[in-house]
Amino acid sequence: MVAARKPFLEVPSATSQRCVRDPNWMRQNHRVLLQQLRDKTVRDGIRNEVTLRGCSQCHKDKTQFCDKCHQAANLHPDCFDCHSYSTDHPVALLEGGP
Amino acid sequence: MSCSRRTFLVRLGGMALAGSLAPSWASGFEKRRLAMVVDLNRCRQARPGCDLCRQACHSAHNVPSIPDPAHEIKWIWDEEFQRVFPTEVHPGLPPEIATSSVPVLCNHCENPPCVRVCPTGATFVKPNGIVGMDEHRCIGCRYCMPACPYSSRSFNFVDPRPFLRTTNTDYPTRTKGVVEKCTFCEERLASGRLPACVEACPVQAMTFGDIGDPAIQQRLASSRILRRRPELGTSPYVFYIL
Repeated sequence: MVAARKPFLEVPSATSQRCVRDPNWMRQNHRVLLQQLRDKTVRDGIRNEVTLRGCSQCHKDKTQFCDKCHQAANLHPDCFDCHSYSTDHPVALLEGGP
Repeated sequence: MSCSRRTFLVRLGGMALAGSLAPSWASGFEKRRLAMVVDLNRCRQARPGCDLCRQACHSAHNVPSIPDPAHEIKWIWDEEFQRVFPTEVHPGLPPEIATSSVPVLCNHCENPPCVRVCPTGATFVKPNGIVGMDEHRCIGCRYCMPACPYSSRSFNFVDPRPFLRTTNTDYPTRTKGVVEKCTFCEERLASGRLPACVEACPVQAMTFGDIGDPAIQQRLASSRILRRRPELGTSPYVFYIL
């Protein structure tokens, strides 16, 4: 059996800020983080944290960032059915640890 | 210190009473409770023809213009006076009022029936009184739609995106199979802006703020106030000035 090759993700440019969490942690757990932030925003009205728009500031190409892994793993998250992965309006990113 | 059984029970009862009353003292007008006042006299000045509140709202929130009335999505729209206030129509009513149209939207009720029937908690009341809508949790059962006596909820029977003229990328679109409605522009309030309809009104017919705000209180004190279908006990927080 041949092991599947790991997809190579787009690496943000050197000018980008630090990721909001440890990149290794993010690879495994960004789903949990996004769901928690979603509930905070929608249910509790707390909007001063990380946003999807914030992710797109560094990871500019969605096809090279979200889609590459999701396709390799045959996952179909529906975030961007409704939300836009737009890099138009910059937002301030938070410095944060894991 | 000696304390008889009777004294002990009286004190205990007193403490329990004080505890139960405390939250109601602490709330009142200090608690934020958002409300809107629509001055129908001013609104009529801009009519017929003014549609700016609806346009501003629907373009800010990516509300589609679907021609089929069965699939229509509405956050704020016009309704005839006699349909909005059926119990207020009588021969003494000036004809210009009786034949006028009234802007209607979600009333953000104190006692919202839509929230009571929602099986997933997708629609819920926020501490500031806004009846929120979490489309992530909506399963599209549509119980909330007949529950709402004001028809303020719309269901996406079809994918709404092909019916958008322009898309505001700052606000999400919706998908087929979820219910949506006015949210009192919660996302704009978070950045210190007024709701889109209030901002767009050319005759300042709408006033928005906390129910205790002097601007709201002043407008409510000076005129005759109507609320939609008060007999239902939903306690709407959109007030109309006649």
